Amino acid sequence: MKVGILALHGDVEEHRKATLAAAKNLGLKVEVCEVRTARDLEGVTHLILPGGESSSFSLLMRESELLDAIKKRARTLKFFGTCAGLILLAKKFNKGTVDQVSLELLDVEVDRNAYGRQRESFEAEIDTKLGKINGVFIRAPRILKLNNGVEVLAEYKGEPVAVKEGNILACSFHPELTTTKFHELFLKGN
Amino acid sequence: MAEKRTGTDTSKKGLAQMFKGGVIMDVVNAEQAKIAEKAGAVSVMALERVPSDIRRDGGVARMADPAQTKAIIAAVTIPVMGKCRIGHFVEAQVLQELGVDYIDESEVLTPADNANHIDKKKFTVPFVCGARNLGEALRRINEGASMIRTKGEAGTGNIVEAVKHIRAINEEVAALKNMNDSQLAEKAKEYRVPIELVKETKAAGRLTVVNFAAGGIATPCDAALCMQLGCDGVFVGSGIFKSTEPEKMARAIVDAVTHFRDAKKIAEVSTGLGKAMPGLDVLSMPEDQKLSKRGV
Repeated sequence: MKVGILALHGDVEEHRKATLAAAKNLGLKVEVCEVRTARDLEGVTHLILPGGESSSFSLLMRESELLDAIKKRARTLKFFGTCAGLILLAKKFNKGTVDQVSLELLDVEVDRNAYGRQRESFEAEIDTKLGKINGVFIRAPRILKLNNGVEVLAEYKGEPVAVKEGNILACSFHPELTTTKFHELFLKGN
Repeated sequence: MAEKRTGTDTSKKGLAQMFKGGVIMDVVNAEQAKIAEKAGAVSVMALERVPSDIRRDGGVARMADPAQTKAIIAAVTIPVMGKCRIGHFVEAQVLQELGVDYIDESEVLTPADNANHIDKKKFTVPFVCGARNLGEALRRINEGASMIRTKGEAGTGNIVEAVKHIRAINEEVAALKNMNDSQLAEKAKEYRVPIELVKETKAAGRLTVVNFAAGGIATPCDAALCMQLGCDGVFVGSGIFKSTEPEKMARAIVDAVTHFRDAKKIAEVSTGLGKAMPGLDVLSMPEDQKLSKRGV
């Protein structure tokens, strides 16, 4: 399998390390590459959308051919988005910039930066279906609504913070900074 | 359910990790902030005047008027940074109160304390600080900085000092690799930091926090040069809004940083940008006019 990480900016290196550590734990052979152009998607089976600024991602993906190229492969690729990556995957998002777009693949509605500014960014122990983890929420988006097909993998104070729908996994926090559990689930599939 | 902890080391350093591969732009009002956001900036630095104007005007440069910072915060959805004077912890308290997402304890403003930097660990909001070499960088990290940037020579549009500082840090980190424990202890003494921090830096083979380039970046090529030299991202100060076509320049620098190894792409985005900011010679600059000498 070949894991591509969207590398327009963001915590690409942290995702690369978490992916390689997860693969090692699972005994899987995984190749990791950075994706900046549509051409970089060649051979990619798994695509990670990292943390960063979703407004900037949107702009850079729209102006290159990357947005359409990813959309075209939406049925065959496996996706994993964290923080800004969750916003990029969401069918609906609020408080974006004027012409901000998303891939519209994951049937959730999210509010950008809804957990507050940086002084409200936080860490907390959270119970997930994959076990207890330390969640790092950085100017994190909030999942407001989700449709029937979306499975909740973790909640914080009664709100969903990690979800899965078909070939898509997404978190409002940054598992790549503290755990390999979500990357393991991503590589295993189910 | 476990309670949340704010202002943690991981969340402070984490925000900077999200900026990697991105561009942070100096802005002085809401309109400029919107231009920066629209061009794909990962964050904006709110300040009273861009460095080249501070240089030209002389006098004491201070934290911006809170109204100006608030207007910038209200204008954009991306994180907003603010500058305070070196050692001026009350300006930092005010910036935190205003809701800025990162505080730059900056040599571009006139220092408020010639002996002490701010005790940055006391704050919930993270700090970025400038450095010319590994000693300065480690001292700032030891004081609680969650991100480092090279000082370069702000407001000159001249990349030469930034390159010097990037190379100095790279070389000094590389030199740690072959040192034994007693040599590392000597270095810790020389840098005036705990040996643990020197050892962590040796083990990481780089600074233990995100490291951006700053101070003199005026073109897409300048920005990509800093990236190829190993920086995690770039700050652009006067380089955007002192160019003749700020929208185009801003967008081009973002593209050049994302595609920093792609010369074809950089050539394409560098085409037809109008005039870059006027530059200043650094070699003939009197030593007392160098901002990078402040806050060592």
